[in-house]
Amino acid sequence: MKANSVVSSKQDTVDILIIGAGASGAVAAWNLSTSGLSILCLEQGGRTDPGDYPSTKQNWEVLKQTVYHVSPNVRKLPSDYPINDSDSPIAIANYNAVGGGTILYSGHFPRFHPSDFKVHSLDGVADDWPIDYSQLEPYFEQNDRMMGVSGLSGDPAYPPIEGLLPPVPLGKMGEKIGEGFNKLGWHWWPSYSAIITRNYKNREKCINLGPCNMGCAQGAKSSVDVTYWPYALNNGVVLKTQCRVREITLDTMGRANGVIYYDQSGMEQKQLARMVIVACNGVGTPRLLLNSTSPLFPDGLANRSGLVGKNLMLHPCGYVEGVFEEHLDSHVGPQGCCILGQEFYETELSRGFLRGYTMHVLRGPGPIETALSGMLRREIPWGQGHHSAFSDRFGHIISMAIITEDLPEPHNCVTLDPELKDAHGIPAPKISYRLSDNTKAMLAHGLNRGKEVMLAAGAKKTFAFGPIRHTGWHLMGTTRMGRDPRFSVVNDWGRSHDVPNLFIVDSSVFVTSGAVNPVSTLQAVALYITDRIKQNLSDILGS
Amino acid sequence: MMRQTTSDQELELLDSILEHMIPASEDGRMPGAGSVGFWTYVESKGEASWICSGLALLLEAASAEFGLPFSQLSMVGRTEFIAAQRRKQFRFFSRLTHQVIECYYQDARVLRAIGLETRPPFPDGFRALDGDLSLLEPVFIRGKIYRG
Repeated sequence: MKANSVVSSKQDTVDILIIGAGASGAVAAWNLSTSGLSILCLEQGGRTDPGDYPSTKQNWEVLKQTVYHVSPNVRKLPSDYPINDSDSPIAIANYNAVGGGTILYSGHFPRFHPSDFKVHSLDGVADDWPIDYSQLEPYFEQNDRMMGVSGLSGDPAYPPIEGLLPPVPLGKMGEKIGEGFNKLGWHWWPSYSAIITRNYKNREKCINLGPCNMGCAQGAKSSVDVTYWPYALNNGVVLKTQCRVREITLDTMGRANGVIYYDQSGMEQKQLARMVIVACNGVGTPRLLLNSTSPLFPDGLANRSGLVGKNLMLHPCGYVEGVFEEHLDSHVGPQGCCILGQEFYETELSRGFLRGYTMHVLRGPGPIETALSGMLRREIPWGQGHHSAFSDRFGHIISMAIITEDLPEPHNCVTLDPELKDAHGIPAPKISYRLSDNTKAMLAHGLNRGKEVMLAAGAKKTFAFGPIRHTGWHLMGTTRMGRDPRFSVVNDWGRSHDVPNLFIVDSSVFVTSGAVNPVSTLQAVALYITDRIKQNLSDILGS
Repeated sequence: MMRQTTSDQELELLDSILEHMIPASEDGRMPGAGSVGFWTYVESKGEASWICSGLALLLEAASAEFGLPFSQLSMVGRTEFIAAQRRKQFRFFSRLTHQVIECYYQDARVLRAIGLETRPPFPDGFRALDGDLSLLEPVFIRGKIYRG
């Protein structure tokens, strides 16, 4: 749909314009909502209806393959934009709606480790962050309170973490695999889960629907549409949905002065603003900046460093499966939250790679996925043997994701596809990504250790492979933060080095990727950045 | 133009494929894939036309190979033919299998037989074992393992 008119007027100017209503945009909206400034958030997706989530329907497993698929290229909803990820072994996953990726995330919510912010100092690779764990710690705590997080204090893999709701159920399978970890003397711990296990802030507790990663009809999973957004809206933030921003515009002084976007009816609109905050994730954010060209920024807005879109990190994931003799009811419980193992998180040179990975134990699949994967691997046959082979697997499977830390490499990047465009004619992002030798070695190590723990727990059969294609949820590094404008896009509090009233608050600003799901950390970073914005409003906005 | 209807011969072939894929269990607890309303399912999903076309090609292949319509093949002949075509028409059978599994494992009799309730997860949810957190004792006793 092409533009046919531009509407704007001076009185429409807002103090703060936030682009994106996902994990970080919601944080920014809420944290700035007490500043007394006018705030508008533009979101390209709509509001989801929990009554429509797959868990309200008998065919919930089928819906995962269509309208709730993790890939926008498969879903092809009006809110989605296409992504050319054919030059990457890992396909990009996202969700475009109020709540963003948190609508479909599993809610696995570990924090980055203190060492993740000092990668260069500790291990001589990549770069240190300009901020550290201790600076973020109060924001981690604040974020946990806002989101509602369950888990267990006392984890020796982390500095003390308090105030958690009781952990999600281990289930028989959690006990089983925990015993396996214990036999090997390896670390494991109940998952930090953005799932409330007790009634919390007007939300009802988890009742183990299972497919959290297709939206939580109960509202127990802490997606930001049910955590931050109600408070932000109550404080006066205006949220406009189905509004896709095409570009950020500049005034004659080189300051951001608003955006051009397409509204619900496809009409081109101009929105003026005194400050612009980008929260579109590690692919959407560089896409928007690269599409925002001008005589001042011919290579994309805020891109004098040439680093916009570079250093994409995706956390290549491996998959390990163990099949057990006992029926473990492994399909019962929050699908993506059970326990995590971090024995191999910190660097140990003898392993043959730097940095490390998390072993993320998942619940077993539902009946359709059990049958499909079993038949694909020829472990469930056609014919009379089908029933017994299915019975041997359903409820007997423990799954594990190996989440590896990939290091920043400039050739792993987001660029603009020269041909592919979205429904509004805006150039689509193109992903170019390769696994480094370090990541490959780490992944192989993780797959082998994963099988080892399955066997130690008593698995009669194991299976492992990686990288898994449709796991590109963790989109990081493409507008990295740093103090030197030559080697970073934003400063240590998310402010563009090139455009003083332009901020980025999503995981694009990550310097390195850690080896855990990034939402807890990206939200802590967004709280930190927006606190700094509040402290520096007069400098940012001028008189 | 894609076909929207299927012939009696095609349906007979489909029934045969379904019974080869998932026959009823010998103890009678599990129905066969031929008795879970597969055709109605794929029609409702808009997946019927490619299956019609694929079945038509298989019927042609049977005639070409045996000089007989599929319906006149012996049971052994049918089994051998379907097994051979599974290898030759891998993509068709792979896609068909996907649809059959989706349909079969949503059938109420099947779900009950594998120990599941015939309802969506919401609003009743499920009970999960909390688990024994004392298993963590050795992990805790070992002490700090993080750096920095």
